[in-house]
Amino acid sequence: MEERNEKNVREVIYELLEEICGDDVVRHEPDINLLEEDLIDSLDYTELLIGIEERIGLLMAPSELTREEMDTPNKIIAQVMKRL
Amino acid sequence: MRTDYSVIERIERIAAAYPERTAFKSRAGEMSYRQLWERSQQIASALSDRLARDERPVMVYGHKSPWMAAAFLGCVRAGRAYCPVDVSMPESRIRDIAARIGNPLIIATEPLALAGYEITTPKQLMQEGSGRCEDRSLWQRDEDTFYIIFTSGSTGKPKGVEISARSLQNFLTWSRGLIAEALPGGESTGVFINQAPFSFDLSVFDLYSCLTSGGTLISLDKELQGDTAAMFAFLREGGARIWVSTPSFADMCLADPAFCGDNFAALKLFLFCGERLSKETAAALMERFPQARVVNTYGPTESTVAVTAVTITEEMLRTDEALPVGRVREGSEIFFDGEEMIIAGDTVAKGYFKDRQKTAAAFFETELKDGQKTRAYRTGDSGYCRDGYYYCTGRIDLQVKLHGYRIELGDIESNLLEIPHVQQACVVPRYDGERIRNLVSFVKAPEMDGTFRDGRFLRELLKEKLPKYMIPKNIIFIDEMPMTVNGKLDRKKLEGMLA
Repeated sequence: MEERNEKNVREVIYELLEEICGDDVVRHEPDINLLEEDLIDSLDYTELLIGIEERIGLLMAPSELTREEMDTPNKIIAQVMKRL
Repeated sequence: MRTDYSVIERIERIAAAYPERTAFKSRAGEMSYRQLWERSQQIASALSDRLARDERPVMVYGHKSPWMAAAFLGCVRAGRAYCPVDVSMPESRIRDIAARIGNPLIIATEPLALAGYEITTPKQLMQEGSGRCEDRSLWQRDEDTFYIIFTSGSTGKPKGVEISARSLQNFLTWSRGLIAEALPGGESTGVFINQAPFSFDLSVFDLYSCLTSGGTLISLDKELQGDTAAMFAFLREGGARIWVSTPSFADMCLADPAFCGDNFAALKLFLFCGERLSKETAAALMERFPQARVVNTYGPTESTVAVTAVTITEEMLRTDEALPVGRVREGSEIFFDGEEMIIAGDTVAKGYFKDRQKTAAAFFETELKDGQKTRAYRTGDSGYCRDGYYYCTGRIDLQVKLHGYRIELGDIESNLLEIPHVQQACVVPRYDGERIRNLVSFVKAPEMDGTFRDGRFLRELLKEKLPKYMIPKNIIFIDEMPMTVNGKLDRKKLEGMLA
């Protein structure tokens, strides 16, 4: 399996978010607030968690996280790294 | 004196009155009214000899040659409908239409190879013509089919809209009146421009309004349309007076600052059809061409080009509403089935050529307010009427369902177009398999940088006007909107860009 260092995780999350949000601003501005900018709705959030499970092999239950802990690309990456 | 001359009779009278006037001019050549009349007679005579009792329609293939007009007239003078097909059509579609028309003879003004058909040129036919006395009883009139135009349906096989000589005549009585009313005092015709290919019925607006009023048509081939400098020179030299095009084509011209009244002093009237006219386009034209009128019209091919018209005023530009498509012409009535606009009256097509099922699905018999029996057509366009003015809001089939909400894409687009800087907008669904995942808006706004912030700015403005579920998820800025061969916005291509 590919080494799960931060650089790899970062790239995987960026790609996933680009697909879900439809905008590469998530890569260029990793501190952008996805909720406030309407880049992610609840349906997208579910897809994000599924995507993380599929591509990184990490199961993140919606109940263990608040949306505020996952509202920017950088925060999402940090949450993933913490669990690896 | 008779006033209800048929289309052919009118052209005959004009050819007799102004034989040396140029009827048609393009980079492929020009033809005077006398030439047009004589040549079309020769073509008619040869067609009668060749086809004898076979009265099937004749496909006329080509682009912007003056011989196209001669061939059209030749067909209808020989008692046959014609079916115009432009060079831009893919071969499979041409083959499909040829098979549907069923006539082994095809007239072509441009090279065409189609196995199983006898392809001839108008010049060849002209030379064959015996020149014997013409049988005027053959001329297409009243309920005889004048032309069949295949509409580029969104899916499946194209449908051949059958327009009768009477419908065309009724339409032209109105269109000539509309033009005469909009031109400066006393004029009733002039130099028309033709942008649309002849397989698109917008071309009927310019071609026949011109030929039945004694004007001169200057026709722009597609190569010329791609070379703005050469096209502007051609238009100026030709003294273009009456502009007929899609709004998208005018937008393309407006991108060049040289497109203004100082450079085109003869231009007095812009006639639009075939697409929604945005306030931005109308406002830009009115500012750059203070001497000209901008007229918006509306109508489907199935009701002969157009049935409503309105001159755009400064006041209309100032309102919050999208521009109206106008008041309905005398002879037509528009009513509603839910939001869908239904057109009834004396220009509704006979139906779809050899397609009873599709005809029955879209056309029906009805009565006008005065009790007169007439045909009616379901347009698939949604709209409403206020104070006698009709407004189109979009296509019934551009309604999408997203998270259970029914959304009219055209509604979002109108609201985007209300925003200053936004010149063009097209909202398309982004699919995830069969399911619509969200909406994306493509926007042309040259004065904006196209950053994420600009997109957010537009979305914020939209939120003031629309419910949240209607706000496109993404705004994508593009320099130029892709256009179809008919000069309309190419939605399919934009959708494809998201895949």
